[in-house]
Amino acid sequence: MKELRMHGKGGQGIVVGGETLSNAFLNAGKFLAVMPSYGVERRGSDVTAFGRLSDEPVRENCMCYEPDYLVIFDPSQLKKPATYKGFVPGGVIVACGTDPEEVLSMGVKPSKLVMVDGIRIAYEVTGNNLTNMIMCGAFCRAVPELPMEALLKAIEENLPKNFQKTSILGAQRGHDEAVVYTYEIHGEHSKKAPAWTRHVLACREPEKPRYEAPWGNGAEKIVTVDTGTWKVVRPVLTEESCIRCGICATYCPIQCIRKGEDGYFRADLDYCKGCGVCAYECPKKALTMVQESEFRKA
Amino acid sequence: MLKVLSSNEAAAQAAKLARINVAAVYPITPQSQISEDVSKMVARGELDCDIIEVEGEHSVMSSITGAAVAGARVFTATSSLGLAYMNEPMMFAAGMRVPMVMVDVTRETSAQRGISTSRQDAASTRDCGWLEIDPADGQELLDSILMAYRLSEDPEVLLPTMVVSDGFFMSHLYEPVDVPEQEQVDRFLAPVSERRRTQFSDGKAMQFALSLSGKDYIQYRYHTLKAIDHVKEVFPKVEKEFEEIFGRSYGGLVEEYRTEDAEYLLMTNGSASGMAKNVIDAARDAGIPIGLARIRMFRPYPREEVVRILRGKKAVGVIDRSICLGWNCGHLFQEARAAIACEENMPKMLSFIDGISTMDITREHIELAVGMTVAAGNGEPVQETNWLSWE
Repeated sequence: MKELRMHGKGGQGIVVGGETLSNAFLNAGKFLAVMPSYGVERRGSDVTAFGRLSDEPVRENCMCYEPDYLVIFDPSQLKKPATYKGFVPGGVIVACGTDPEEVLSMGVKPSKLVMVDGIRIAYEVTGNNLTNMIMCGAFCRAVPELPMEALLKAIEENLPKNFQKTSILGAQRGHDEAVVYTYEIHGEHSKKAPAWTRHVLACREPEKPRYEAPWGNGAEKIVTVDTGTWKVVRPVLTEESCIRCGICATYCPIQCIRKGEDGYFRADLDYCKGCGVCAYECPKKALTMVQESEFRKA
Repeated sequence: MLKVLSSNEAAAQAAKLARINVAAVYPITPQSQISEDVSKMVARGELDCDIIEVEGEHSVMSSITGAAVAGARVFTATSSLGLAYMNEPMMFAAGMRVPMVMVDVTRETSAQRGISTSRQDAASTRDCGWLEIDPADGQELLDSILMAYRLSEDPEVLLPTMVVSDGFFMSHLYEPVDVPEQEQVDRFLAPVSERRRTQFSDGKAMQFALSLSGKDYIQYRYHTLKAIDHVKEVFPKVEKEFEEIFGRSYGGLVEEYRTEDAEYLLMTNGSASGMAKNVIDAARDAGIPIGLARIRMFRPYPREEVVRILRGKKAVGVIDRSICLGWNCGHLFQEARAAIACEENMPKMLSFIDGISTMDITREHIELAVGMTVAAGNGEPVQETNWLSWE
């Protein structure tokens, strides 16, 4: 039994990616049970999927806490400690990115690290950040038990016809363009002692909540979801073209564009989801949507 | 043939294989995929079924009740607040002795608002007069839906059946599922028209859901109760016949796992059972004589089976995904404790509440439940009800 965990963003096809891997392993005579977890589904928000791989049908229906395989579908997940939580030393990491140090600096010890510039390939193949098949291809490169033919067969037999060409091309490029790094890992990974040895006679009780019912205090700053992390592109203003009409702010679906002291309207990037409505509506084309990866480099 | 399906997709496949005639659907997370899949099958011409579009779950249940009375094989799926909203017509369906199958994909109830897992929704309908089957994975869900139609339409039963699928931990888990051939299913499930005791015919006026009082009222109540109880005899036969055709069976009303020489037991239902079996294997390897009783049928409650399995054990730890608000314990615990209470040397009973909202019933939590159950069996003063999420 091996545990697998996938990290990425809503809209990158992680659910379909997991389902496709499950079909691919079935073609290879193995069982992969995959369970995505995405809360209230929204494009751009974090998505995690859990998988268990076995020669026999899998009987656990739980999340994975000690993954042997990590598949990271988006560069935004590379710098998050939660991505690597519980990763078993000596396991395999398949990551969307180009710099192995970005992964290794997070304190993980993989025996194999497979990196692929998934976002670049995705834009070349599909015109957006849909990296799922590219990462599935790279996964085949990392895991010899899963031959590429099994993945291609899974794509041909299970994905809708109109996605097949780009899916096969993406999977193939992910496989071929992936760069494999291997590392010597010393020492055994010690498993935790089973919890029945803890001699607990009563579970703790929760603390008393602040209010008697699930209310909030309207006078306080409302803590919302960190929607700024969802975006793939962000609006960049060319001040020379801007006439400060504020149409962008009017159309912004989450109302995160405000007028600054200099009279220009700018998006609050902590909330902007990168939907691009502002750039579309701007009568002077003063807003350009620029890929987040450009800013990560800087 | 093995196909990678989520439990939701497996449920829709089962409905199609059962050749349902009428479905009424209203979307709700985490069930929506079932409604969508059934609708797509109809739109593509793969399934000859009328879809009734309605404005809410109350009408879902009311409309398919009418269709079932008229002789159709009907289907629907719902969750959480949707199930709560159809509570009233659910009681009608049971009292009118209408055969039908509904999948409840479990989800927490409000407030606090949330869309994650809990079996509070299903538990809240336990006295509606419905039968309740609790499969543990997608394969068993598909198979249980087929068995549910057989059971529900049995002329000596004629009761609606709810098949419960754990939200997200089953509904959104993709794994290989063996989808039977239509020809096999047709052998197992005769067309509904051949199975009904009460038939509509031209020129014959009939009334349903009459207003009754006094002994007439309680007479029907009593007969409904007897029919529910009778299911305990019918279900093992249905499962045996299922096994003969499909080669799969799940152990009757209560599945026993390594119980024969067990001194301690865990009790679960639904999706938590697979990990519980793994923990039990590990505990056995460590020398702890423990087994698992998995409740597969919650209504009727298999009290005789439960007593037989629990009798003579030192302690039983029951893991629940729902809470009896008013008695700090879970529903499985409450019923098992009631069933075993008349036994001499009754085992020490413990209630563990876990897996509610986004909380997972983890290996570690189940290991902790094993430790506390063993401690209780050895006479240590263990607290009766424990919420594992706080440890």
